[in-house]
Amino acid sequence: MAEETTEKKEGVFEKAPDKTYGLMELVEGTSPLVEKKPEDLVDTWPHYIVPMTLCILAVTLVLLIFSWLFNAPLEEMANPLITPNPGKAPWYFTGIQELIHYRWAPPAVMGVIIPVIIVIWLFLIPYIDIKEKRTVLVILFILFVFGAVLLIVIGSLFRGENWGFVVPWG
Amino acid sequence: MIERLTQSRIFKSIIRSGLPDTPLKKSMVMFNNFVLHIFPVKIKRHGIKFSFTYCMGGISFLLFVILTITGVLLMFLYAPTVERAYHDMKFLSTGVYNGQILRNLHRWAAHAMIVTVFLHMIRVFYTRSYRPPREFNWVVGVILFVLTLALSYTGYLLPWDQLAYWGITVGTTIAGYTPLIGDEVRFFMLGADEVGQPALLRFYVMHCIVVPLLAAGFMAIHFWRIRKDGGISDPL
Ligand code: HEM
Repeated sequence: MAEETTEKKEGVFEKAPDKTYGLMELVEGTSPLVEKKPEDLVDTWPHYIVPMTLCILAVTLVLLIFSWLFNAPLEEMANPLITPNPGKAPWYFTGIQELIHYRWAPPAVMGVIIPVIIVIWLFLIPYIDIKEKRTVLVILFILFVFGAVLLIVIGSLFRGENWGFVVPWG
Repeated sequence: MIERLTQSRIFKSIIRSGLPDTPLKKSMVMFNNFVLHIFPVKIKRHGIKFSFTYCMGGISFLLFVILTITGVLLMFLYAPTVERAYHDMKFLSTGVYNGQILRNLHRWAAHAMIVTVFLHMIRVFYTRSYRPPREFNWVVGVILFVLTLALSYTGYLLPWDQLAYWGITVGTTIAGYTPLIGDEVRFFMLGADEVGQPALLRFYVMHCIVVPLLAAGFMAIHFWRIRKDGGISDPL
């Protein structure tokens, strides 16, 4: 790209006699991209800043309306002597509780080792995404996402006394 | 009127480049503004398409900012002691102007953030944006995912109601299943054998100081890396 644009243009490169410096070269183009295709760029202001601001306002508004309609739960004061049945972890961990419940393996495996392995596997994803094995990775990821959602939904909504099956509308 | 205002010395001393009506000034707005300079002056057209990122990373960060602001306000009204914590929470709904809304905002934003971070991770996987040179930013992302869960979990105990007490009891019991060092892990989390005052203090310090600072630090790296890795990744 550079070669075609740097040929000397008449008049532009004349050096003023009272100056010690002069214009040496002209490179046309808007960004210093070397050995790359030109990118399709737009001005961040306003093409990005305006929609971003609207997005910020919209999310904030939705959150405000939601907080105005629904109160965060606050039960009785903590009492170590009254054990609720079932005792539930916060919703994002009820999936793990549900997993432990199946007793396919000791709780150490279901509750700690499997989640830790999943996190380690998440860390490694960019490094194990090899072309030949990509299908396996994609299937595992889909299983992870839907598995997590499913276990959390069951653990949070469909479990009652002694972790027995209940329906939330029952 | 607007013209006179933007030409005034005071306005110019704050925002140097004036109204962004020329390409140069449009660049200067981005370049000279402390908040905006985190973004590039020019940005890839496809990178700002909603259907590529669904803004889930950005919304996660927005929620983090909202959580920081509401969280600091809550700290003015809350003492992490077994005697006071629950009553401070109760008092929010009865004796503090808009206190209930403040608490609701903090709680719902926290839940929403877990959801948006999870969706963000799914989006990045779907667009395979962890390809080189972005592998490490995915790793930073997973750290942020874990920290987001840690933030929510440590906050869960603070209201000191039945939900909080038994939620943390269940969670730390699971952590206690860790092979070999289970009891130590549980003790490290609770500062005792059962959930009590030491646990409340530990969770409070982790929730208000340690984990937010860690998360903010990793977010800084995350955003820095996005710029250094050449902005939003190209479509597949
Ligand atoms: C607190 C949590 C997080 C915040 C605030 C955050 C924020 C962001 C933002 C604002 C972007 C710009 C693009 C977009 O909005 O999608 C981004 C990109 C990215 N994030 Fe995150 N993120 C978080 C967690 C994660 C997680 C959990 C992962 C993956 C495991 C991840 C991996 C990435 C990668 C690889 C990119 C570059 C994407 C691309 O170039 O297309 N982030 N993040």
